[in-house]
Amino acid sequence: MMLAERVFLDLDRCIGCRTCFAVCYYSHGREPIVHFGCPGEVEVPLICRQCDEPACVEACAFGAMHRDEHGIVQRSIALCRGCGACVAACPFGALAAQTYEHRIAKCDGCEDVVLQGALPRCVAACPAGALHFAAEDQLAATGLYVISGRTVGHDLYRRR
Amino acid sequence: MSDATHCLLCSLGCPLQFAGHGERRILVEPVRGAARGLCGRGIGQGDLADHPLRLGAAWHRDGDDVRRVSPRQGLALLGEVLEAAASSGPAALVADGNLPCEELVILARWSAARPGRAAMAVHLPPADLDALDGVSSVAARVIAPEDVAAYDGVVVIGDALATHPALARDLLDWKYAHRRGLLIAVDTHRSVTSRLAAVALVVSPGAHQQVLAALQAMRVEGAAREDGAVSGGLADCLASGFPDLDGLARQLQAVRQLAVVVVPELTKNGDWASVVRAAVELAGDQGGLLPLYSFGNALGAYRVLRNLGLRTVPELLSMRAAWACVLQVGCELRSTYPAQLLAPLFAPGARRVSLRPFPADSSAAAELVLPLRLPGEYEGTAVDGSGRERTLRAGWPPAAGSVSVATVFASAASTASGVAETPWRVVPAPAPCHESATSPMVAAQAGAVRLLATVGPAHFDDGALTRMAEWTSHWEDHPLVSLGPEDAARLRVRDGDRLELAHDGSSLVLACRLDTTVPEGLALVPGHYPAVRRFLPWRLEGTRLVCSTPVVEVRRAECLQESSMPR
Repeated sequence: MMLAERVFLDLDRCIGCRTCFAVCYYSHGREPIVHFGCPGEVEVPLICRQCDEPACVEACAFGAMHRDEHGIVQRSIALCRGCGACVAACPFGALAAQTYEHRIAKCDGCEDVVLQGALPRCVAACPAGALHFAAEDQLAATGLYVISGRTVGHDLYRRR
Repeated sequence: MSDATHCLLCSLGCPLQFAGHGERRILVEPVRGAARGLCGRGIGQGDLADHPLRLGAAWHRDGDDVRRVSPRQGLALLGEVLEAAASSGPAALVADGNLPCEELVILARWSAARPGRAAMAVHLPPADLDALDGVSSVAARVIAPEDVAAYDGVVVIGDALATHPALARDLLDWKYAHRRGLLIAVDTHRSVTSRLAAVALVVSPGAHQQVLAALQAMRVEGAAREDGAVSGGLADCLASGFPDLDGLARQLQAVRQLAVVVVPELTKNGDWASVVRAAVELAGDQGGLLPLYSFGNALGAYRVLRNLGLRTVPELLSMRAAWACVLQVGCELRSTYPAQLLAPLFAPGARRVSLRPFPADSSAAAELVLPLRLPGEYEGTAVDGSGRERTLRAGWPPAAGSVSVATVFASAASTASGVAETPWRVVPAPAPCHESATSPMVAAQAGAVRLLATVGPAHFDDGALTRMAEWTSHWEDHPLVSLGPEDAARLRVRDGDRLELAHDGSSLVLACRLDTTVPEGLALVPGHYPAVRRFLPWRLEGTRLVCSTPVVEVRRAECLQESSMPR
């Protein structure tokens, strides 16, 4: 099963405040899951795109990275050895190795609240309204367009 | 008890709620469907509730003997300390301006019940206080963030999106809804807000009034006259040139309703009251003013302060009384101001009592420390920057052992009379205009730069509270000084070098970060570290505290990159 809705970032609204990091950090066992990159002047969050053909799943030799029944790419804590193959495989830098704990912090799409109809926590908390949780065709109505089509799944970044 | 309350970590007062507390782990989230989001510092408050360093009991010092006592014993000891001090001199009470209005009134009653024996001051950040005086002195139409949608032009003074991230949704909604609207950012460097604005004007610290006056002239008189005086006036007070001043003048003239957002920041200007007055002039009759304070209850505390005739901290310092006892409730002045400035208050022999949620370096010297509730645990009323009352409820169960102001002072204050019940609902009389005290525009010399303290989206006031939140350590766990590439080349420093900054006999060693957004002659340093704040040149000017941008000598303390390289 594939995800209908994903998290998208409107680059023209992101102010680099790292609220997404803070809310994710505290709601996911204090793991630094959201990472930041600097494609322009402001550091913006690198959030898992939940790719259609996830390279991290292909790269994982232990079956730790998998797509669950709701279409979310998950990491099994029990199976993860912290080898870092998924980190190397992810073309978007959305994964980073937790070297001390020998496991890879991975966005779980806030499945616990999304399945109850709520927004992922990073989207709900974003004070700039830069993060959207929507299906691809819904985004077109907002005037956002993809700035790069180089993905194996869906591109995170949108521009006005 | 409801689980929804309002954030007090800036004057936007965002609604927040806590989402479960299994084993007292508090997760703070924006209120679903009712909020514009929440910034990281608001979310980080949940981390403070059960922080291992949080005071859970009272501490009493008797010489070198420090012992933990129960809250009940702490209250009894407080009575003893106050009684003993009363025979030797007056007591100074300094209350944090972010306490709920009701608690400030209780403290005012406590003080009023001791005529001649106690004086109360309310601590507000000097820039907030200055701006509040400015707003009070003019007939400004103060607007709320969501009111911005009705305007067709917005001028933002300061880095509003860094200091008040929750403003972003309203401001950006406006920006993308008004494709032809004019968004002007006026700041001392290319800040986050400047990057999102259509027009970014870079001004020297202290020159905001002149820039606003020049914009006002351009708005009234339009494009440059033949002699170029109007746009030339603006060009003269910009730190770096702007390519199309005539075009800007035409755009300004086309704006019918202008909203002006003012963020009073620590060192960017020494006279925020004048900046506010200039902003109101620029906005005109049809315009609106949106002041953004750093304290969530700055306006409520200001009204209590002025309507009850209480003192500000600089007024207390200028009294030069021989204080027998100093009580600090919710604030720790010695984390914020240099010791020499506070010398009149903390003279040797003065007994010190501190009510705080966390220990501070200086509370180690206090005779008695009582554990106070956190802002997320307050109950009462706050007034946001737009004048709307916000009901505060304990967002999560207060920690065991923590006390509220009402618990400590209410019974002692009940005998006072003549103190208004709800002074925060009354707009105070206009504050008198003080003499303009803009910081001198001293040009940086060889080997020197002007140092500017900035405010970021993660920290609040002096950072003592927000730095306790673990998430901030993943972002910034020590201060860095940011230099532009021109100054870095001139001073021969590289990214990562350790620099010694010095002025007037004080010095501070910080690592250097090169930042292309910093203009020449300026260095930026985060202003939410006690060491940085104490390094800044605070001075008492009459009954005002002024903190200007010092010219600092820059020397390379040590070069980490070179030290690891073979020579």
